[in-house]
Amino acid sequence: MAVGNAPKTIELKGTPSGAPVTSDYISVNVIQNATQEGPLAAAPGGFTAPTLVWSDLSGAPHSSTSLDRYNGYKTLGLDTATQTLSF
Amino acid sequence: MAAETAADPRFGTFNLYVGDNTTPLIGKSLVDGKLVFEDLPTRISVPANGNVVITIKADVSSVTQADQSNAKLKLALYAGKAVSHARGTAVAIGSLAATDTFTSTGLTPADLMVVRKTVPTLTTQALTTTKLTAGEQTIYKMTATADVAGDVEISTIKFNLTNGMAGGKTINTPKLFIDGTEQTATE
Repeated sequence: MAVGNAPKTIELKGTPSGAPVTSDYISVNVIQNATQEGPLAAAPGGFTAPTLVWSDLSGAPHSSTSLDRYNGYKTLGLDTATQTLSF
Repeated sequence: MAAETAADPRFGTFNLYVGDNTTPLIGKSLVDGKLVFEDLPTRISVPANGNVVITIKADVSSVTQADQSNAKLKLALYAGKAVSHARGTAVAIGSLAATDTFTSTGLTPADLMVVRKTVPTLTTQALTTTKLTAGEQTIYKMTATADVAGDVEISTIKFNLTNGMAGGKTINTPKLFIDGTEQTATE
């Protein structure tokens, strides 16, 4: 997904496997990686459980093998706010 | 210290801020790997048994080549000059002598900073509803924005889901949408 100055809206949709009942809830967020990894190539490039993989497109040229990808360490906005849905 | 040469072209001015001030007290260039803030236009007064927060902000030049991204920067206090005096006693400008010099023994260097050509920012967006119901619904929504320095590419997002549903229920068929379009490829 290429992202420019105009924000891209990212939505996660899902379907409960059964009808929710009282006290049912789910909570979702995206957390920050605890340590820095990168620059690496696209997966499988050695990232260890990345919560986010992003590139600054600094590879010349940028490709699936260019070493210009990073994980979610210190990414602005991570951890994201938790969103909770409840019955 | 080696003789000073030209300022490091990878950086613009390093500004020194005192407290919550939004106007820098002084700005200097990085020369020979060192920043020297001297002849401060206003002395930094540290109250007895108190502290003053000093912030240094770096103006990093634009990344124009691949090998400039991922460059690392760490600042550490090397030495300084200070003098103590009784309350209400002014210290004259220029009164600091070489004997007032202190070194950075015991101080921890700043966090390692890594230069990127550009960076993404993730911002959570409000859901239309937070009522958990049967059927497909949006369970997380956020925006990704690139810094004005350039576009970014995101290839992996891992959502952290806490399941508080009874009876072994799970979330089936999670789907990712970008600007309303379902994503079926991994990159």
